[in-house]
Amino acid sequence: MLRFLGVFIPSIAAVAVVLLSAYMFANRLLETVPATAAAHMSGPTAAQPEVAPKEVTESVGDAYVAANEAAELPSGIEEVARTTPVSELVAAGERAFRKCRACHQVGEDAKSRAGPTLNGVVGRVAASVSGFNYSKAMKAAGMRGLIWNEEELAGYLAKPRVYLIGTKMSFAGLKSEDEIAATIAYLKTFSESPVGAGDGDASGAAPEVPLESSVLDIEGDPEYGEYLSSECTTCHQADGDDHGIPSIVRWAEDRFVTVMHAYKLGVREHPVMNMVAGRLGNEEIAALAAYFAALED
Amino acid sequence: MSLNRRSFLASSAGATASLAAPAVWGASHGRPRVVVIGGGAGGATAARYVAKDSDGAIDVALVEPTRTYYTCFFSNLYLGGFKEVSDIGHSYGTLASAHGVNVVHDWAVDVDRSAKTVTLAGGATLDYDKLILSPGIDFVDGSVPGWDVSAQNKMPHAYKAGSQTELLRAQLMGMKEGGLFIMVAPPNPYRCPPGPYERVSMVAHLLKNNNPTAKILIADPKEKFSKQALFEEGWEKHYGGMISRLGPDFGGGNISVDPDAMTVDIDGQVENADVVNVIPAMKAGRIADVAGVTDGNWAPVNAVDMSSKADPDVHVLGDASQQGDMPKSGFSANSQAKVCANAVRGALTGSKVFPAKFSNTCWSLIASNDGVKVGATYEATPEKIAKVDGFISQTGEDAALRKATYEESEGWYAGIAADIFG
Repeated sequence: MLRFLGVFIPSIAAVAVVLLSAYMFANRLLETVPATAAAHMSGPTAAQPEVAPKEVTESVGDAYVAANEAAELPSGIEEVARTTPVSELVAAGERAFRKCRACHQVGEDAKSRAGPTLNGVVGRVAASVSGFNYSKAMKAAGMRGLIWNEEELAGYLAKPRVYLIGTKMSFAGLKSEDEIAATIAYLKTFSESPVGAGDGDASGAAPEVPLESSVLDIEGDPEYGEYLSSECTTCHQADGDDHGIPSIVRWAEDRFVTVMHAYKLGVREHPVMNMVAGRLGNEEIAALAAYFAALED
Repeated sequence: MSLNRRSFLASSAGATASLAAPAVWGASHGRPRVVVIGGGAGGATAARYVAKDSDGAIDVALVEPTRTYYTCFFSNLYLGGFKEVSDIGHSYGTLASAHGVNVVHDWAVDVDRSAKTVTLAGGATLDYDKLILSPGIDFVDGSVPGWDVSAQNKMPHAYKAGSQTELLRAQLMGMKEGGLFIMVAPPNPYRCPPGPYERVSMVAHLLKNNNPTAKILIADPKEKFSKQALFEEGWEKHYGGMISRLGPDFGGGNISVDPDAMTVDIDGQVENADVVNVIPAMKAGRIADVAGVTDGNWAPVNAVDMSSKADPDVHVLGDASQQGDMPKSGFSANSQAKVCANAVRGALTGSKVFPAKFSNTCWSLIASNDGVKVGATYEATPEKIAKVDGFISQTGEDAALRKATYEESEGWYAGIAADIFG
């Protein structure tokens, strides 16, 4: 029972932190965002100037549900990016970025504020701005090798809290594909030759391996994965605790498979992981991915 | 892991059984029974995995005399002052409450393999369908002339963690200024190959801070030892001039001790010591011998399922087993226990048995934030557990990597403790 409470209480605390930061975020917007941007602001948080915390809570909840209901990720982003001249896209992105500026800085002298600086964000590993206090979820995403390429950014910007459950970024998401494509194009101008020394260093980008779709598409046998997992849980804790050794539970299966193959092939270097992954076949890696992805808290 | 219906039912079953004492087994008519002797890295893991994965279909009793188990791994870090003794102590409460393991705090004193029963010191008898022995090590009588267990308070072995480890630390803390610490190192094979040398590192760390003119002497019957280049590099770097080692060439294999006089005779030369750590030669824990599954000092097993070569219904795990290439370590015992648990469940309930697969990694701490590791993977062959592939830390690694290795070892400790004790 104590263990049960031990898990439960931190979850309450985490929810409270999210709600509190949502409230603070809403207030911050009112102070700093130009009126035009505030009017565009998605979600009802900015549209209700004098809200009490409880109402903010509810409206944040509504926004979350709304985001969930909008089922598919934006699909026309590539189309927008292809058909719009770059300069136009970047200019539109600069306008769209006003929604982000309350928390994020980009460009010369940019510093981390409520959110990390975004210099160099395109192409870097998640949670890699030194000194910024990322959420546990974002740190875990970085550990497992999430790289902010355009595809990942598009997914995240559309519905941050659905795309990365547990993120501290209390922003409902950019609504239109045009805005997302433009924002990414704008951020890219600060990414290919990062401005601001020390920030946005992409040298830590996790190496990935190109895998045949036949490898990625193997449907893992979770029962076999459960047996094999006992080799992993000698070090990686099954409850997802990540003190000293990264958590490996609840990863997306294709990412788990990719990372394990990166260790197997020696593209990622770690003697224990190279050794363990080196002995696993494609079916076994798929089985482990399936098992750990479905592991309950 | 949250409490769910399955674990609640399992714990109810366990509670019923303990209320029905003195009969150790409750009303478990028809369910197959597994008795595990020894609640360390091998036995507790095996009990946990059999109980957890069989979902109540198998009754599991774990016989372990101590209420709190102190892990040998990380006990050297307690000697060095990096851990508290409470950090390495674990109870069996979760095994009972979350997995329904019937934890019996008693000594197993006899095994009747034809009747398939285990007799406890308290008089109770447990019957079993499968017996898992994981008794760890005992010491070979007379291996260090002059020393026996009655001398262990004067010259502690500290090779079964707990009060002995606390005693050794107290003696080191109270050692006179500029005193001499002698370690009598064990011959192969023994528990935790890098253990004595990590211990020397941790003692040196402690003395460097408290008693910097003290000296350390190792009397060693072995030509070479685990991670030797790494330790020797570290000793020179961190504790230059403090540590000497006498191998067999210099009489390190010809040792006797006089615990009353606090002297160690090394090949005819008598040294007066202030603290002496005698680590005698080792053999399988006594119950393996009593059960008649040993051949010489150890219990030979089949690699595929850790079953005794003398009896297919008896499995032997960890340090007590003679299995082939794996070192005697907590990690190895934990790894072997999972293979064994999978095979035992398959035999008793028909669950799917997957191919055996073993691995081991041993981290050692040389000084603050200076961690090293060695590891390997293994497979079952008809003859033995055979090494497939391995790695070892390199000399000359930078401080950041050594620090990361130490931090990784702390993560591993948390991981394996959860994997063993729930």
